[in-house]
Amino acid sequence: MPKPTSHSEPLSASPSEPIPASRLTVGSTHNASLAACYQCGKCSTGCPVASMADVLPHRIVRLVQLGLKRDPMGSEHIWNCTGCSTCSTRCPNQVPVAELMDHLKADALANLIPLGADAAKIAQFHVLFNKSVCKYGRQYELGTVRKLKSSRELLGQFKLGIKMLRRGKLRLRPTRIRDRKEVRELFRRAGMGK
Amino acid sequence: MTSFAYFPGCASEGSGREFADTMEVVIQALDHDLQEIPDWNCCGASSAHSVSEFLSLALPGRDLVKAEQMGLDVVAPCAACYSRLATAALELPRQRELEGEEPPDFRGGIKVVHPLKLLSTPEALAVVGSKLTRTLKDLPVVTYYGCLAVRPAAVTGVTGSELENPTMMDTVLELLGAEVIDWPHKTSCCGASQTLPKPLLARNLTLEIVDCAVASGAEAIVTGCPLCFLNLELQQVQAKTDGDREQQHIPVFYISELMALCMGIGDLKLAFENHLIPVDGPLDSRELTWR
Ligand code: SF4
Ligand code: SF4
Repeated sequence: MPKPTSHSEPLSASPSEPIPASRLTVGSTHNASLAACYQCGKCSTGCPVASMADVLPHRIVRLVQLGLKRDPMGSEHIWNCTGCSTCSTRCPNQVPVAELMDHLKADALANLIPLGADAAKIAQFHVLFNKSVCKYGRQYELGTVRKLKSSRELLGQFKLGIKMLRRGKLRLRPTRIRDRKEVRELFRRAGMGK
Repeated sequence: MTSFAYFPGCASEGSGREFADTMEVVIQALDHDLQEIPDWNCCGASSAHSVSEFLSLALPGRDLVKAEQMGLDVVAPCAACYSRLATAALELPRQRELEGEEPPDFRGGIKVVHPLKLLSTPEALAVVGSKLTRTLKDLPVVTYYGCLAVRPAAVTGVTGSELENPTMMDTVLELLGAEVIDWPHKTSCCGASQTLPKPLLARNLTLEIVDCAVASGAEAIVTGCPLCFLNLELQQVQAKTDGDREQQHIPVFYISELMALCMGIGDLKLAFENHLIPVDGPLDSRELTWR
């Protein structure tokens, strides 16, 4: 198993301090470095949430190239990102843009970067989701939804929640796997569990 | 007959029950054997990779190790599960080489297969064709693939024009006798899990897809992903409640439901009665009974 890395590394605090070349490679799925980006903007053009972006994807790539990682780590866009991978897929230089968004989110959480209200709601969702998996080994949808700050906006309409429950689309009780210890150990190694 | 290690995914126990149920019977009707991975755990979906790269590989890694012990390729119906498992299957053996760490338990001896690929091979189509008990009688539909069944290419192995214009479901639906309408949103994003923490973000994306489907003349949207399905239904219903849309309920089907319907297999009453948007319109008008 790979060791947990990004989230435990300290933030490169000074904006003038460039990130070492090795850190420019984000995940090895595409095995390409961010340095290949020539700012064509294709990633941002196809991004479904670009219209609401505070920092556009290609600018995020640029900032990280320049070692100014702190700015995008505090941006809302990395949290709005749906993980659709349109950016990575269309990039002419195989820059792993979508994977970069994940790294920035993990780093933002690990370094306690202050988040805006919307970003904080999305971060809360991911944390709750993970807690549920850590606890049961499976995702307990109702348990997670109930604790969400945003759940009222969605399921506030009581009727919809009831409809979902009646159709068995929301289970009342979680399913637990047998070997929960093994899963909890993975969370512990990721620095996220006890 | 091929045997697969089966990863049902958490949605199969709740929001996407009818998908898993019908997908299982369809895959079995194609003469494949599904053996559930014992004590499988959640793949981490979109949340593990948002907080920790390690978890995003370690969670599906535990499942892959079990599948490798079974000696079987994995089938995971949910696009998100598929994507996480396939990414880990690619990454884990590679990370071992790159970082020279302790060897991960997963050796990379098995593959992760998306069911849409399984259902659309020439052999599968031949079997489906031979088992049809009725057709969809030119039902006009659009196919909606969403993101993770096709992207990222390095994970899915999808190439060329199929990346922007996939045809796996189209081929199946044409065989079932549907009229498959060309439209621009086959691989647009529905907003995925953002529906929960940021509902309006997902609603904007989903309604654009729905509006376009209606404008294209389709009577139904066909998808192969439980999260896409959930968003397409939930956001339509909620948009009407909130007064965002006056009247616009286009039914959504899983590809596996329509296959089961035309092959005369599975419990479709259980599946269709679970839909938030009634399916009677397009089916009753063509005397495609399911009750
Ligand atoms: S598409 Fe690729 S090369 Fe173009 S701006 Fe985006 S990351 Fe850079
Ligand atoms: S993965 Fe994120 S950044 Fe890339 S196109 Fe999709 S939403 Fe935009």
